Amino acid sequence: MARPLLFGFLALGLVLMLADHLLSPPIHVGAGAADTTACAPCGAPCPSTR
Amino acid sequence: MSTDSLASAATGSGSDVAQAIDRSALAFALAALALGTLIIGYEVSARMAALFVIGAGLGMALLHGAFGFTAGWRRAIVHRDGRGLRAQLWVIGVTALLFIPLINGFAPAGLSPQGAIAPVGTSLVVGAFLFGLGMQLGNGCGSGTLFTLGGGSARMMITLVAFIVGSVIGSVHMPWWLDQPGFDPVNLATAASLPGALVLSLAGLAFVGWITLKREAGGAAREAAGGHRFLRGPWPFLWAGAALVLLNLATLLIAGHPWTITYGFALWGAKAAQAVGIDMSVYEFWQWPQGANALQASLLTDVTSVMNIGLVLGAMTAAALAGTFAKSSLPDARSAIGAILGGLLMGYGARLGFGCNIGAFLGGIASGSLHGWIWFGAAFLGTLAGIRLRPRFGLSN
Repeated sequence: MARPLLFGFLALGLVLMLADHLLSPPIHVGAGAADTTACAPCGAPCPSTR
Repeated sequence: MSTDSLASAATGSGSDVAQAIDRSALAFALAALALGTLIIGYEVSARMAALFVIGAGLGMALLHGAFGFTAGWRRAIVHRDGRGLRAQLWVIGVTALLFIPLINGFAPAGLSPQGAIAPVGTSLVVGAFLFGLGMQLGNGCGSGTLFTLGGGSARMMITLVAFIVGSVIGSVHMPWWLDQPGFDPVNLATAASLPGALVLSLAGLAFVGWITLKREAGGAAREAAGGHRFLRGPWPFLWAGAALVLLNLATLLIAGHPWTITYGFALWGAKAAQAVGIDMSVYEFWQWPQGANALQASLLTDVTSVMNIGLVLGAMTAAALAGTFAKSSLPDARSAIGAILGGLLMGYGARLGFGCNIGAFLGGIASGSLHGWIWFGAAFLGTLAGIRLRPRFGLSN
């Protein structure tokens, strides 16, 4: 019982991620290149505004 | 299957009989990894595809090494067995030796990696405490939830969904928490010089390690002797720890920041909420530049999301090779309630506390940030409370 559920859950996650990609605005040239001013994604306001 | 039973399976402590390779799980994981690498490489960048593969490597190391933060802390507290916690301290210490210079002006030319350096205050303390409590009820932290899900834990499906819901609620409440007393981020390298930050960080880690050894005096546990195999596992802590250090270093150099996990959960939840008609952009957290951009863009451009998926698939590959994938049954109602509660608390706590054991404890301390130490202390107190509550949810200590 758990095994098919797990396969289904994982497959659903992958499909949703792909669907999100297909429905998102096109990626601009250079996306994914290292951003030297990037903030670490810890969730704190960044750049700091508070 | 919990992190404990996964650990048992991974270390082979429960049986000397080698499990057969799980071919269908292996095929699923490898096909998803290969396709994912191709799609991300083609659609986004080679850099992002590399981070996807790094995530898979982290998942493999976590599963084969049974490198669970939750069980490690609990064993140190309940059983006076500090081996798991000390392995974590070693990983953080070696990572700090590499990270603190790199993020403070000694990076290779052209790179300026950012550390996980976050504010200190009410939000951090409350968030870390709730996270520490939740991880004992959820039976896995951020990385633990992902690698045990990849390892075939049915219970972790519940924990992960609740984790995501809690993260979204936390993101909505976070601005209020940030208005409570606190102060700006403290980079120890700025406050106490670079050598000072290294000395303070390593001395702190050594002190915690010394406490665990002192508690073990007279009954020090030893790692069970046994065969270690690279592909099929289990791995000794040393192999897993070395892999975590090197892959986190690769993440810092390629992504520009340390390995993180839980921000991705908040983003997944916010995107799901948007998909059902809830406008998340009205909430302040999702108006900050990082969140606003992430909400608009494809998940395949989000480093944390891409690495998280890679991690799950890497752990699934490892579990399939070890023959331990999906050996557990569905949780009973009491255990499922614990998973929901634990997931919600972890999700909410991770947002308020700026991450989990990976982003705040490992990433924060290794970046020389004061908040990492405060997070550790508050999360440890939460874990003490969580350990007392575990039996109520059918979880053993």
